[in-house]
Formats: sequence, C-alpha cells, structure tokens
Amino acid sequence: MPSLSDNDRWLLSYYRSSEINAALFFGRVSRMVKPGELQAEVTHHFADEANHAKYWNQCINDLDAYPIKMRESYQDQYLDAVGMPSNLMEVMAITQVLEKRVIGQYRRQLRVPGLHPRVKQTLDQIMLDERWHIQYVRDALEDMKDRYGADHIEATLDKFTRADQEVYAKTLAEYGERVDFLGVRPEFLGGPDDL
Amino acid sequence: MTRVPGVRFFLGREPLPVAELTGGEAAQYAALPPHGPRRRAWLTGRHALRRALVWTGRPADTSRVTFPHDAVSLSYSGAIAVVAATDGAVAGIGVDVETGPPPDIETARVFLRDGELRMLRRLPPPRQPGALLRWWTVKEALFKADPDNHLGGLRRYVLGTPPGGGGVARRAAGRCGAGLSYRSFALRRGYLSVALALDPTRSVPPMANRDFSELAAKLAPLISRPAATISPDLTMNDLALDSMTAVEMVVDLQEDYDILLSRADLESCATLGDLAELIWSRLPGAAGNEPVRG
Repeated sequence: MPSLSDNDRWLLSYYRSSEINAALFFGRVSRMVKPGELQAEVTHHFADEANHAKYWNQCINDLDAYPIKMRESYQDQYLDAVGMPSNLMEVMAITQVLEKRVIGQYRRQLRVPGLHPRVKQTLDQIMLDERWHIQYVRDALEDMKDRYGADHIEATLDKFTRADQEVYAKTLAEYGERVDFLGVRPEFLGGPDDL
Repeated sequence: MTRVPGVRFFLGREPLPVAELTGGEAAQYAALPPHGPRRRAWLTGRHALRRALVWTGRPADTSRVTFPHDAVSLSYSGAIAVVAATDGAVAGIGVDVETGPPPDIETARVFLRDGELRMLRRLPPPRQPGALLRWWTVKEALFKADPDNHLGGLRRYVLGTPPGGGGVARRAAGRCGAGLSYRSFALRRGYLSVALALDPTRSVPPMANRDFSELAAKLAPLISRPAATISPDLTMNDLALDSMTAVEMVVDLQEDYDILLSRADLESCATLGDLAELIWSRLPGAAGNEPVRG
C-alpha cells in the first residue's frame, strides 16, 4: 500500500521540482561569477540543490511512489513576480530571500503532526545545507556593499522580501487543499524571517 | 582592441657605477646614509630605472623622476629592484615586488577592508599567508599608481575578490578619478604586482570606431549564435533569448568588464549596439563612470 497520500506526493514532488529549478538556476549563476571564492561557493550551492532534488526523488521512491512529473516551482512563480535580476547583487539578494523561504517552508513541514520519518530524515538532511547557503549569501552581499552601496542592497532585499510574501500567499491560495495540512493561515504569513 | 596599455618590467641586479651618475643623481646619492645597504640598493634601482626611461623615450637622468609617475614605478626587494614602465597614456603606474615571508596575519587589518578580511578568513588556512602577501603587493602597486594617493592609505583601495592574476580596483571614497586595474604574478618566492591608473580625461571612442567583434565574440557562446551573425543593429527581441539566458548574458558582461548596470540601463538598450555603447561608457577611464545604483 502506498505510504503517501496524493497531497503528500504532490507536495514532495513540488519540492523536488523546486530543487531542480534551483539547481538549474545556480548552474547558470556558477558560469557568471568571476574566478574567486564566490565562484566556488556558488558552484557548491549548485551541486547541493541538485543533490536535494535527488534526496526528494529517493524519499518519494522509498515511500513506494514516483515523483509527479511537473515543471512548477516556487522560484519560477517568484521570478515571474519580481522580474529577472539585472546584476549579480540582485541575483544574490533573490537567492537570500528564496533560501529563507525554503528554510521557513521546510521548518513548517517538520512541525506537521504525524510527519513520516523518511520525510523528516530528508528535511533534516537538506536543512544542514540550507543554513550554510544563507550564511555564504549573507557574506557575499556584505562583501558587495562597497560596490553596490549598503543602502541599495538593503532596499533591494526589502523589495524582494515583500514580493516573496505576496507570492507565497498567492501560492498557498492557488494550491489550496494540497497544502492545507501545513496549517498556514493568512494572518501568519510573515516574511521568511518570521517562519 | 587593447584597453589596457602595455607594461614592461626591467629587473635591476647590479648597481649603477657611481662614476656614471649624472650631477643630479650624484647629489641624491650623496644625501643617502654612507653606511648600510641603502646606497647599493638605490644604485641597483637607478640601473633598472634608466633602462626603463630610455624605453619610454624619456631622458635617462633618473634624478628628474618623482613618484607617483605616469610612466615608471620602482620597487625593491632584497638585493633586486624592479621597474615597471608603460608607453601608454595613463595617469599613473605602480609596481611592488615582495620575495620575503608573508606579513603577519594580524597586520591584515592595517591594509585590508572589512569585506576583504572576511574574504581572507574564508580561504583555507594554508592559503591565507600567500594570499595576504599577494594582496599586499597589489595594494602597494595600486597606491603607487594613484596620482591622488596622498588622500589615503592602502585601505582606500578596494578589491571585489581576493587578488588573482589581474582585475580592477576601486577607491572606497572620494572623487571617482582614474579607474584602477592591476596584474599580479606569482614568483618562485613571493609576488610581483603592477597597477595602472587609467587616465579619466581620455574620452572613450564612440562605438562606431571600436571593434564590435570583441563583444560579439563574448556573446556568441552565451546566446548560442555564431559571432559572425551578431551585429550592432540586432535588437534584443531578435535574439529571442529565454529569460535566464538574458540574465546570464547581462550579468556575465558586467562581471567580465567589472561594471554595473541597472534595470533602467538595460531597458534603455534597444539593440546590441546600444548595449555595447553602454558597456564602453562604463569602463574604467570612460568619462562619467560613476557607479550605478538603482
């Protein structure tokens, strides 16, 4: 008997799809960055995201199912809303906001009552990498202050964070009952930092 | 097209014979302490400096040279002296050679900015001393090249990444002035770095007079199109790029040329010719190359 409900399978497949799109995004970013420390970090990040997609695939398989073939991802919905980044600072700012959203979402998932241990194991494994992602992106943005201006970076992060809150609310509304079990109510839709 | 003027190095190993000094040089030599290594080092440096001046087409009398200089720069390390010379129109040139041990890591704060210190700390510990020595030579070279170096010390010069084989630097504050670029070479022991302050008064030739093929060659692999088919009159719509390829293209160009472009800048570019002119106008040395925000 399958261990996953339809909604569980859909959500885990959505996570897999989002990780795949993140890997594809960071694969492109890895080619943009100049030789140096950030180049190594972004390339590491690219590999992490690809691994996360693999973890979700394995997790779904271990729960006697296959991932649903889908192209949707949170990143695509987000980039549709904020527009494509125009320079490397915006790329890193978008990354910062999306990584915080991912951590927030995965934390929320970890709090779901009756979470399957195999799903918890996958979440725990991915969360280890996500914390490092947040840290190196924060450092990269700090290093960019001389070039782009601290105020400009701050304003960009604020703008992207506000957009994330709107997109997240829309995403929850769009997928309705599939994510009801996460227990998210509109009044609790704070920024990623609040999650 | 060559954007950065050529540089030639002159190595001094032997001192210039005192008998060959000009009157002005003899007076400078006489003012040096009579004992210790200073006199021999000074003569070794003059030997290299003379050859460099002749190469640039200037009189060989080194006593007329004051630093910072727009054609020659001199550095000593141990028994050797190195002169870097350029025959290009630049505002200043600086060179530094270090063949001794790396500076104490605790002294990094004296010449690195906070962001640079973080970059240093993120390097694997075994790589930090070598990186610090190279950083020092690059900063020294930048300082020497800067005609306005009286306005601050080494921390005034900002590198966006740990120094590698070459790149550009900015001044942390003050008027924009000349753009700064550098090259750095790993020696058997130590590093040799040279920096140029590009002349901000030189206007950048309009795109029509420049070689568009350089940009076309850069774009070709990015947009999967033969360089020969990429012309200045192509519009962005003609390229039919997916959104991520468009991002990769504009970010890649900004990173390659070390310039900043905003969304508004990009929206103002209807054709690749417009984009090329925008990039050229933001290069170090172009008039009005203030950083772009927003």
